Amino acid sequence: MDMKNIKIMVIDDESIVGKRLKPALEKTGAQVETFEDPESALAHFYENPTDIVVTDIRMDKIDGIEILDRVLAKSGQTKVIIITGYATVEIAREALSKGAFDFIAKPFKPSDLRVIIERAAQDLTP
Amino acid sequence: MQIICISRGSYGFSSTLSEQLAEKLGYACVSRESLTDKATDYGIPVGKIEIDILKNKPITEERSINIDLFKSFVTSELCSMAQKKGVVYHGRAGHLVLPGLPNVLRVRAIDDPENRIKTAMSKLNLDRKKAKQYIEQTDDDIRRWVRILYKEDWENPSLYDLTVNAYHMSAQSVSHFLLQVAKLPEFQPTPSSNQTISDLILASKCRLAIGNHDQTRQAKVTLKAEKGHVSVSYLPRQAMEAKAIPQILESVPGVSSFVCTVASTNILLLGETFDSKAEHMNHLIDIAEKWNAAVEIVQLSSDVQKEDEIQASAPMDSTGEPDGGILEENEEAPKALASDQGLTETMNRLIEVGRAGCSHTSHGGVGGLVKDISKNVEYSLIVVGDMFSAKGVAKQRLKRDLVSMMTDKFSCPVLSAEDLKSRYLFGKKQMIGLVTSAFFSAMIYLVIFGFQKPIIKFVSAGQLGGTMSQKIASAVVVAICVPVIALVIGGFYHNFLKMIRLE
Repeated sequence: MDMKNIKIMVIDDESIVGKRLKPALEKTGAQVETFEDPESALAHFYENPTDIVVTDIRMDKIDGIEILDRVLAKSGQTKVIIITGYATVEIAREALSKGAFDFIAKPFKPSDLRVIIERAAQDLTP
Repeated sequence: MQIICISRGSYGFSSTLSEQLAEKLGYACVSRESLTDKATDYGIPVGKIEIDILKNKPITEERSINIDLFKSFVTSELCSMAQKKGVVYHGRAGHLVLPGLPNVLRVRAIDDPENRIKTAMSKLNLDRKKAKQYIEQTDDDIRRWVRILYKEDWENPSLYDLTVNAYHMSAQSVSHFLLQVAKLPEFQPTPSSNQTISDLILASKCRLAIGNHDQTRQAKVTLKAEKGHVSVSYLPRQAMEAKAIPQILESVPGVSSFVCTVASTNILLLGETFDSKAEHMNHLIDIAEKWNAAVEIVQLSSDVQKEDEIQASAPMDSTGEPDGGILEENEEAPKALASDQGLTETMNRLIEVGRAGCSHTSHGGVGGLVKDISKNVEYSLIVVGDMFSAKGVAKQRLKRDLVSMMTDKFSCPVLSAEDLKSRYLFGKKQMIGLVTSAFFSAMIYLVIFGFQKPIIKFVSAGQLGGTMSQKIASAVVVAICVPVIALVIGGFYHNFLKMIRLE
């Protein structure tokens, strides 16, 4: 799928993550929206589903695993990529068992995430 | 105070068991998760270690240092807690987190596979097939994690004092049972175990201090502490970074004296191509571990362009300041050469086992190779690996010539990689040699002590007025027998010392 037609949603309650990832992911040509509040991110997703969701695991109101469940329940085609600083093999395996596309541990370079995003985009059915 | 470590697999029943046991004993209950969160907050990227293991990525030197720091952090936290109050720790490989500490009760808590599947299904909301797959994959990850971090087999029963099975007993019953076991004298702290705890705390605090310092962050060190005396050894290529270590150690409370030394010795491995999984690599690593040596690699490049370029040994990540976990956008890391003839993999293996020196590429043939080998580093062994592959049948002869030439140029032993085992390690061949020489040594002793009188009479005949022919005969027999006896008995002790890894 052409990257220009790809919509990416980034959900992380640390504002710096969105600020850093938005320009970095826009380099792929995709359209990127960032959210600090997972509830408003989900509300937005229900109205305008995106192709790729990048979400943190640990957030106050809703955790990343619940976001994964709810995003895939709404749109099975969406690729969900989990990012977290508190990764464990158990959490990563849980996310992957539930249908996450990939899992990346912080700290990481934006280029590492871009590689995964590009792979996810190729996996999307046009 | 007492320490009880409970090792669990994924979705076992050990969390409940540990909490109940800690409550009954009045101890602190600490989970692995709480310690990994603390370590992450401290700045150790534990998540990256976990995901690298899950994705089966090779362990780079940076990751290996982070593993050291994580292990030191866990040791420091647990031992510090144990100094104030008894601790029940539960987590994967709980039995391995405090190696060398006596009087720790090490328990393995397992559960029936069917129960684990049901628990995973209900807790994670997965169907049966996915829950089963989740457990199998997680167990595989943990097995790999234990092997990489502790070089042990997770399921090895000899590493545990007890195994308890949730299928047969409830957490309540097991905690009651463990309460009684914990009272046994074998698991009570002693003055010696308390001293070991203090030593472990000091060693881990020193390791963390070295890992936190800008100048020594990338230093791969091994560290020991004993009653306030700390000894640190580092790899020869990190001599520059190591200059800051004394200053760092001086600032760690509890350090009364310290010694900071370079890894005791260096082994040089020469080759054109390398195979990290080859048998001789296992032998080389065994020897390096035995000698506390760093292994330096010089790759002989077939191209003739002359460059004195020395490439960094380890694949390094950028060390930009983390910011929300997203590092600065910078240039892409240089990709590994399409084909470096197994050099990177071999270096990664050495890094993984903490034995990596540096790697160089030498251009300009064998003559250039000899010039490129640093005369400033004292090698204790030079190993000639896979060379002259393109020379066909002449390969072995050329290799022998190189070994011979290197032997003349350097004062240390020079060996072909295939000869490492027979020279320095104990195997089947050495066992046969040991048994044979033991048999002949015993026979020699038996004969000598069984026939003392005639032997003394014969040997001393020359001195005690014997004829000239008797004198000559005794001299000839002594001249022949003494070296033979020395060879047989020497052979026995040589193999025996190899067997007990003492040379």
